[in-house]
Amino acid sequence: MTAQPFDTDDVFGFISVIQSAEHGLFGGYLIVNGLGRPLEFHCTAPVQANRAQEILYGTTLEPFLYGEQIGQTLLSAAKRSPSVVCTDLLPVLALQSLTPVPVAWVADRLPEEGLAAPGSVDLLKLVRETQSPQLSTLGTVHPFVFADHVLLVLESMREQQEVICQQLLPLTELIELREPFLRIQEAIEEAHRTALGEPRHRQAG
Amino acid sequence: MDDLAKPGLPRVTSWQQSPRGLREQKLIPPVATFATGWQTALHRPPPVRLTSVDWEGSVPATVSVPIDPARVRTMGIQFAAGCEALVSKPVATAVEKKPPVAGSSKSSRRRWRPRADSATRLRPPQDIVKLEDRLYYLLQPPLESLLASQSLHFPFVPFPFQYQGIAFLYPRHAAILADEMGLGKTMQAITAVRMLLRAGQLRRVLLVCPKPLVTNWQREFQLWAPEIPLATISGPADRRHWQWQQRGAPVVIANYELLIRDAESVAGEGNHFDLVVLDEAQRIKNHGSQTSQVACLISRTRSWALTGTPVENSLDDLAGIFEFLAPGMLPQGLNARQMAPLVGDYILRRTKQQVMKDLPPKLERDAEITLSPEQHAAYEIAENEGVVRLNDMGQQLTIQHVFELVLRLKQICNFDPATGISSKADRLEADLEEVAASGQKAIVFSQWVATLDQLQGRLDRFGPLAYHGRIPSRHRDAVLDQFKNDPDAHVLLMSYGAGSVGLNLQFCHYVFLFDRWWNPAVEDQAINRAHRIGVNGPVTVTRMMTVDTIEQRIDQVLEEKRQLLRQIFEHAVQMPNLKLSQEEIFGLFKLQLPGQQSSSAESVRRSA
Repeated sequence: MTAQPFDTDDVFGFISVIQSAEHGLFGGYLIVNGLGRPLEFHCTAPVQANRAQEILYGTTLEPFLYGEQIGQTLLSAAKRSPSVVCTDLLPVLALQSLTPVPVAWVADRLPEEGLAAPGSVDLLKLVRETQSPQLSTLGTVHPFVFADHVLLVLESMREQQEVICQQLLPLTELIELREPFLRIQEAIEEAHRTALGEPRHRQAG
Repeated sequence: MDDLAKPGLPRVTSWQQSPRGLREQKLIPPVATFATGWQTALHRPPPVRLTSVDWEGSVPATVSVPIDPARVRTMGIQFAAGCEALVSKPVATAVEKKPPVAGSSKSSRRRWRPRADSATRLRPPQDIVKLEDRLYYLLQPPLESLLASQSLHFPFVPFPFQYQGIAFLYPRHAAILADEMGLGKTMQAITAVRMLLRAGQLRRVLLVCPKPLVTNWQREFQLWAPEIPLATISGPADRRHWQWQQRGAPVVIANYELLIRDAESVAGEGNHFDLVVLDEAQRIKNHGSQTSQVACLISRTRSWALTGTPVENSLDDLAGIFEFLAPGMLPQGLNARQMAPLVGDYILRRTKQQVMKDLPPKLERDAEITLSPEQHAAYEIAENEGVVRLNDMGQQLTIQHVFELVLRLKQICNFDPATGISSKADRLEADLEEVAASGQKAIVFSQWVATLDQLQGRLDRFGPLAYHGRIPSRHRDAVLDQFKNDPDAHVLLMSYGAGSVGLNLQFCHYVFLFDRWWNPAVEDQAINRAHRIGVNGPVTVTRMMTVDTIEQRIDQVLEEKRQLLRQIFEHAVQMPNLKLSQEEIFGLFKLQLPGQQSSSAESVRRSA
């Protein structure tokens, strides 16, 4: 996908998906401002592939569910268009073919030795070691280090690396890049609990 | 004939259309022949058998598999961005801004990005039921990031458990912060108030505390939230009535005694507070008391209680406090098992033992105290007269004279010589109430035995024991033994000179320095003789100091020296012994050393 100019509104999107054995996939999308404060939150009803989809999509099922079904739906539901969308799940990168907004996968923090010397780490090898089956469905990818994490974009977004880093830099001074995903997961669980009418956990300190 | 002449295969000479639609061809042999039977056969069209096959009607069955993606339903919420810095400009208050206290961490605030797994999260209390409201708290960034993003200046970095306390208070409309004394309830409450003011969730806050702690709260606000204007209710009745009507300052401070006297003004119609905070909330444990009645009448949205001893005598004490927090929620007469599930979400209590890993072995805090009017008058007279006398002495002036004046002024800082009134003792009493109520023990140091004797009478209800030079040696062991084993003996009054190596007072977690020694090393030695610090839990050391007096000036000089020596001896294990030089001691009263006086006089004569 050819990179398009996008709105530099200091607004950032975070997409995560949690899997329930019973109900399927729940997608969550959090939009935050430059201070990391929530502006919008959207979550999906459970998404589950039927048997035909499981067979016919084959290895492309995950990118289809995560990227198109969940990711695109959530992006469309939001009022604001972010500068960058981050995700903690590799299959969501398939969303890139459906939106001009850069989508970046945020891996775990670099190992300690990598933090000391990021240039010495073979990033693609690091990513392949953990994500090999999912990587194969995405085509060529481009990893880079930013804010102590490995980020990954599709090759078509390689030229946007610098811009992505500049956009995210003020935010990363206040929050760790993977932190919003924890919020999304808790929010999805809370919404799910409320929908089912389950009792809340005690919140005492 | 031409045809007949050509050799080869027979040629087709004619085509005929048969009735059956078949083409026939007549073969003419290339040579002339006589008609025989086989020629006739040649003319006969070959038999062609036809078989018809019906192709229509055998279309194969197909199965269509719908793989069109189903429409995914979503649920969404939008949040307001929030008000930034409602109180953004620092406003001068009655309390002077002071530099960070001596002996404390000096690191200036820096933007700190917490790790995701160790960050402090805001969590909604159980009484928030609406999903949007619950998600509002769950989706906030970590508290550390929130504080950093608001550009809030902190003189010291809070401990992790303090972040948790702030996160506990922030979303709650009813809360008891019941941390053990010395863990910073004041700071946690002030920071939570500060954040709520900035978020636009509070506009008017009432803080009620014991009278001796009013100036302490003023100072704590100046330290932790200097941008928040304060109004302190004080003065004659009509003035106080007017103060209660004012809406200028977002935070109003009043003491319990005034609350009762001004009940009509406080609880009057139209006087609403978004938050009422009761410090030392055990004051309202008795729901039938006037204090409790008035507190419960105040019109408010949120109610917080701060107390190190939520249960002093019985569980009904807690029920009394809950009548203020959430009226009717906690009936009287419940046992602990019945009460626990009802109150669990409303109370946060940490002991020093629990948060030990977060705490240094010794927690030092300064208690800055204002002289009472009587002490202030006596102090002014003594200082002015004393300085005049010293100046008049000229060349006769020695360091000993200056020492005498210093000591006299320090004694006035302890007790007013005429009336025995002491704002330091008032503050000490307030703190010891909490120490004793929680079953803990404290040591109070002074450089004068006379002061310790005065305190012994004043603190009688805490079972004070004396340990100083005038106690015969043969009795001292018994004193220590009683202090350790007698549950009613909460205070040991000790002089700096007393004690020797080997005192075992590890069970004592609170130390009060009623007055200060010249040399901080002597203070440390006295404390460390009494404690093997960190063996049995953190120790809270409270240094009592009266402001705008000789005590504060001495402290400032020593602090400057400490700073300077820290720069030089950055990596030294032990700080060199700090003392005031002669010049510095004379400088306390802006006096010149006698030698300097004569040389300056000489230069004046020469120039004349």
